[in-house]
Amino acid sequence: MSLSKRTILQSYTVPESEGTSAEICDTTLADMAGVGLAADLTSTRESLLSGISPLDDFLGGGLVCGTICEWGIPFGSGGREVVAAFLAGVSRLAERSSDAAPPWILWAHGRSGLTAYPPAWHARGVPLTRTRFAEAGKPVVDLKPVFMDPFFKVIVLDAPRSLSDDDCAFLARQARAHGQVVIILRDYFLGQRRGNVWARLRLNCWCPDPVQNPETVNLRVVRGLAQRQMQWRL
Amino acid sequence: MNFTSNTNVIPMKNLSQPGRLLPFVAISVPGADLTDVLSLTPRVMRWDRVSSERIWIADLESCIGYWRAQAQLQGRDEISCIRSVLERTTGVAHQQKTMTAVMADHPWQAVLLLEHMQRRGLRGFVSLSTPIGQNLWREVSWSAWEVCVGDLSIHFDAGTAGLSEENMVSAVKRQVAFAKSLRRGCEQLLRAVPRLGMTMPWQMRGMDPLAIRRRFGAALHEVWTWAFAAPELREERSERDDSPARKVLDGDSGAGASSRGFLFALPEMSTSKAVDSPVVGTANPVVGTANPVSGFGAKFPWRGEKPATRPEISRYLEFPLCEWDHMQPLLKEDLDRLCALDSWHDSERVLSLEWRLVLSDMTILEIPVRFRHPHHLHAESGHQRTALLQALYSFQASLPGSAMDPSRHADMLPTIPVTAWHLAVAERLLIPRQARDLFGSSAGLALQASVDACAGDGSVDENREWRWNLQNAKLQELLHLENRLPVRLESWDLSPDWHPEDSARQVLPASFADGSAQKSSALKPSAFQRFDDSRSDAEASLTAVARGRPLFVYRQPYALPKDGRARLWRFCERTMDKWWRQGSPRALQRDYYVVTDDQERKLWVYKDSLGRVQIHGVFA
Repeated sequence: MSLSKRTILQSYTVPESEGTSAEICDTTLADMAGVGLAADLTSTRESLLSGISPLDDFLGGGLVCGTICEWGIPFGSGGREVVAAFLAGVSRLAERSSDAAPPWILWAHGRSGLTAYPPAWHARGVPLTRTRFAEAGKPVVDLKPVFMDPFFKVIVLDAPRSLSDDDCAFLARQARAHGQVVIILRDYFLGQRRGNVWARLRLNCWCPDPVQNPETVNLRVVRGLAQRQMQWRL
Repeated sequence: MNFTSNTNVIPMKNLSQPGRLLPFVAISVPGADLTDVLSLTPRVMRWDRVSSERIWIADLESCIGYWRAQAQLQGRDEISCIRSVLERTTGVAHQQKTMTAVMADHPWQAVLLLEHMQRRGLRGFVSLSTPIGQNLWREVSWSAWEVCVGDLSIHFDAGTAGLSEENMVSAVKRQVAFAKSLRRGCEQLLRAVPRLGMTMPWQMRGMDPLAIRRRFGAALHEVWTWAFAAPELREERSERDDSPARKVLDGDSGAGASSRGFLFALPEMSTSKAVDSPVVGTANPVVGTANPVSGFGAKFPWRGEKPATRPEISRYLEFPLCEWDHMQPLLKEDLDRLCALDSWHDSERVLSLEWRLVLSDMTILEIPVRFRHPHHLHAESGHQRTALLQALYSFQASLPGSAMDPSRHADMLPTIPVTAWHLAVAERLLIPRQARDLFGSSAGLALQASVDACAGDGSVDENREWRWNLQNAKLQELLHLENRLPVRLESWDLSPDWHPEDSARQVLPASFADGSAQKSSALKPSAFQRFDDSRSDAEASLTAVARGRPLFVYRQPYALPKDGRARLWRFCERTMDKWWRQGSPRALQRDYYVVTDDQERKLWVYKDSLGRVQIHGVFA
């Protein structure tokens, strides 16, 4: 993926935390200011943190509750590991809020023949006791009662086969009403014009060199925050 | 081989293991009636015996999630929960210690073990999943086997009652032939037993099934399978069951979606047949003889008992209706009318409704409206949201040309209007009076049971009641939500096993394992306190290995295309294959690699000892 012309190549390394190293690169000065601004704007609202400070800072304080966040992650690129990191952080959401127990997670995917491998989720810190998986190609049709109910606080729609603009508007309205984080994962890259207009944040995630360096994942903000890019090692 | 020693020494620590919840319970209580057993499950069979009093067989599968949830609420293990319900409903028999009950994987196992216990004069509740149950199972004698086979033959003769005349002829022929073959095979077996040196039926478990079939006939082979291969049959059943009804309720769109460990018995979805009169339709053989064990024992003579009264109402429409939007308010009204019937009590829960539509061409269309968990119809009087949603899902699936079907083309598929319908409660769960509190709810007594369960460990928690209420509310919310969905929500738990396919098991729909609650001392049941160190180590090992495994795997691994351009092979791990399993390829081990294919996808593939390369997962 080519970088924007206005990007000033600048990089710095963030100290490693909990066995994970992260590196922010390709950052503009304006973007740095944008991070601060976004953090200020979202500080009053509850947000879902991954627990990895560079990643949370990069997204301006995590994923804000009550909004939709859309990710462009080509299938097989390993980018869903980043989303799993956010799901592992739901227990921190409970610690900061008044709830006694961590919130419930729903991961709905639209691929038949594929199923979640629970030990891998558990190993990445996702609480299996609080997570439910569903196979739903048309999530708004198949899971409508879920969106009408505030039970699940984090809902991930992984590669839905059918999701119209009206569906997205419905999801945004329900997420705002119930304070849910709705994450929509697409199998293709998103752009300024390509994506869900109801999403507060639009991101792309990919592995730049799957052959030589398969553990590295790039994250790029497309919409919702100032454009920036981050490189993250799994 | 020496077959004289059949009794194993049970380690003391194993005696305290609670055991798993198994789907069938055989109960022998003097004077017990059907109502006592219907408090466990709506699927009950009366098993008449030649020599002694009849017993009841309960199929718990349809509400196994409900009992699991109740057990967690009460802070006790599932078997204790079932036992306490039985003790409450058969209060006198329990006090006089005359009740005998056995929990097993198959009704045949339960009947055999119950017969053995009664011969030995044993009383109480025994599960085949416990060490004590296993030890008793090994001691079942040939005489008990012979008596039970005789009882089984009786049920084959009586199993055709209630069938239509046309169906009865063929059914009678099949069953009589099966019963004859069974008796003959049993006689041959009993003659061969001294020669084979087998003192107990349990010693047959290792025999080759094909050899049994060849020597003693297909009928005895079937019975042998019920006795010694019931768990395997259950797995096969869950994999094979891909009926339309199951797809509707489970949202199953893939061949293997009914994955490991999930069991949910569903009879056929709908039938349509012409009748002479729009209302008086003929007896329904499908619903009336639904065989819950047909999946793993099609020949088992299951005959479900039904309560004397069946809540039922009818509606004759003034105008023929086609659209769901027009039917919905009338159906809601009928559900409320159903709740007002004297034969349908507030304390009862519904598992399935039978909705029979009479179409304008005098065809009857039967639409079973099923619930994942026992549903409290009275609690939703006025809106009936859950029942209407499930009715809508069933309606959509049953009418391929209906207005609700998105593939319908109005010009091409004319819809036949509905002129009348009948709504009946097909399966219901009776909450026993002893299990209700002053207000008719079971919540208060569940709280008391939870407090009693925690009182033994001396732990004191001021917030116990508050936390119990919170957990109860969340559990009820989850159950209601699952009842309203057309697709199944999968819940998983780790299963310490080196084999990737077996390292996780799907928990039943209503399972509500709140980790935080289990770790707390207040709600911690005694069963959870006995933490198994070996399991903990195995889980830690599995977690360490799983860090390098992908988040998603294919239900059925498939071969890596040879013409594809795989650029990178990176070794991950080596593991043993379960080559001894029936039907699995004779590969000894697997070497796992991460492969990047020509589409830049990171795949998790393995190469077995036969040289085949299979794609197992994807680093999504």
